[in-house]
Amino acid sequence: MRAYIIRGVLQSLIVLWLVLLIVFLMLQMTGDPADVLMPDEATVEEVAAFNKEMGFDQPIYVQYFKFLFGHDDKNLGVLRGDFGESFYHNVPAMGLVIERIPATAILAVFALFVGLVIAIPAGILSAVFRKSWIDHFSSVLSMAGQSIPNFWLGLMLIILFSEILGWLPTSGYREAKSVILPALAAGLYATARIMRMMRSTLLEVMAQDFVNTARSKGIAEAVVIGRHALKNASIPVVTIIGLELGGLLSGTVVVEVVFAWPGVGWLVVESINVNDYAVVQAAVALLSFMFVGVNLAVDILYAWLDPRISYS
Amino acid sequence: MATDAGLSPHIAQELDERGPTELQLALRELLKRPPALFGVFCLVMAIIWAIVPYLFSPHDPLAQDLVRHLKPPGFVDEAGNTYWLGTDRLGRDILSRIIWGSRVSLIVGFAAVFMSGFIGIAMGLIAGYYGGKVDAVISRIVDAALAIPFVLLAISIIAILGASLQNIVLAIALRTWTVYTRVVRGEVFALKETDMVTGARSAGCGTLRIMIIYLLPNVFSSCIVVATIYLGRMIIIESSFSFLGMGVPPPTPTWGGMLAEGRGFLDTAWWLTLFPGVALTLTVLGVNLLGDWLRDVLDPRMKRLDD
Repeated sequence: MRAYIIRGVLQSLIVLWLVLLIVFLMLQMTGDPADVLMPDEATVEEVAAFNKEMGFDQPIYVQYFKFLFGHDDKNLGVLRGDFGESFYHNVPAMGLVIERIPATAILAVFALFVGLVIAIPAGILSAVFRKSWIDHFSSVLSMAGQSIPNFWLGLMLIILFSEILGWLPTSGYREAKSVILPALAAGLYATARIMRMMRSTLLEVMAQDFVNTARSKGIAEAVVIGRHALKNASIPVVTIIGLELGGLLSGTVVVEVVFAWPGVGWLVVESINVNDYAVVQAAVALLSFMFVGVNLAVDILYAWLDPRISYS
Repeated sequence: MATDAGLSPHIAQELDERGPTELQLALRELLKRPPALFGVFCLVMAIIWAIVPYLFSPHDPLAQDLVRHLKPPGFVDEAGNTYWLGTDRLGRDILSRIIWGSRVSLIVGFAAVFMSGFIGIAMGLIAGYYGGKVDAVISRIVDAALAIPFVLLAISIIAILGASLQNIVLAIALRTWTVYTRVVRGEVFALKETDMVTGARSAGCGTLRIMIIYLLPNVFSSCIVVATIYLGRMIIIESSFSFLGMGVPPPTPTWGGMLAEGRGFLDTAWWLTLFPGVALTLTVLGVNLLGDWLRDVLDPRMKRLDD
């Protein structure tokens, strides 16, 4: 078990190093970062001074080294969490991103909650009453969940619940009820995925011999499903819930923009529009770290829940 | 089928007599499955729109006229022209813009699927066939690509490189190749120990030849299934880029761009937002219904798991 965890951590560290490399190379893709970062009307002298100040005039390996380990006392390098200052706000970029994390996390957790409340019962019922109307209804819902773009659903929810019925606010973050519409819009896809997974895993478990044995012993069907089948079906479902949470943390960008929800996604879109790439780099790196962290936690939890997993 | 070539005449004859081919059986089953048939209809409709939009579009999608701006569906102007789905902020016909807008969605969708499929299948073949260190390196790159918040990275890349069709396809493919790599890698791991491959190798077959002639045809049907599932997602992703203003720039009509324009008129002109979204959803739904059916036909193992 310990070797398994150590190997998982090492692999995650390699992945994070690759992520940082991609984040570094992002700005180099044009060949001339000043081209992206400076306004079009900047003079040649201004561009040269800017390149010198930022270190863009140096060879790329020197830049990479400084990116990781810092330039001077003012910039500590990304390995110590310093992505430099935001050009636009004149404060450390990482701080700006961290400020926005709670809003994104709240949205992701509520979206997942919406997903679980709908998906788990619907998935169980459609597996138990296979080919019944509830199964057909769930499969229509799951197909819709995978086909409707979340931001369009968001817009439609605003028209219905805010403009026509006037029940819920169109946007904002201050009231507790303003999370409902964004969570519904963002959670639909996760709902569809978890529901499908719940149904197929439960069907698979219910086809196994031990379920038939339990039935033939005369145990009530509800107990067979509740105690025997569900317990065994829970592990893959827990895995996909973890994956969906990881996906939601970085996947709600467009929904955040639709509802003016002050999360990381909206911050990044705003920052791209003003060429504030230090913030974009910090956000991409931090969200990747969180995603890798959630995945590692799920892997370890999974191994702990299911002793059959080999640690080699 | 490619593997039929080189068979002795009498086996070939037997193959001819074995009744309908897989394709014929598949088409027969398609007629028995209304959802899949509906999916095919939606997708084919969108493809026809994208190829020959001028045959269907009642008006010029770019023609502006402020006199008829923000008119509701069914509006008839003084000259007797009907605007079935209404007009937008600049008086442009919504229906015509939706029909022309299918172009960008489908071009980006198909191009991204082909590009990511090409890269992903190649990487999967290499990782699965060589295994060991090569596999470890490719697998870590896949993990890293999956860890990065995809939409954020993609819109940054588009903003840095400039919003054009090629850059949008590139930004999408940079991530989605990993899906194919994972599927192909796993299948090649199992295939390379079979007699077919060890036999080919001992007969002096080169690595490239083994990959293309023996491995590729065997992983192809799973890749078609993955490609169909992802085509729908690519179309949604393209529209969200356009919605964020990182897509193909105006005046080219795009469904995502139309939704972004409609966002400012949610309280007064709902038709700006409703209809482009319906077109987008029906296209993606069509692809997904087709994908479900293809999965049942081409990949019986997945069917067992899901049905």
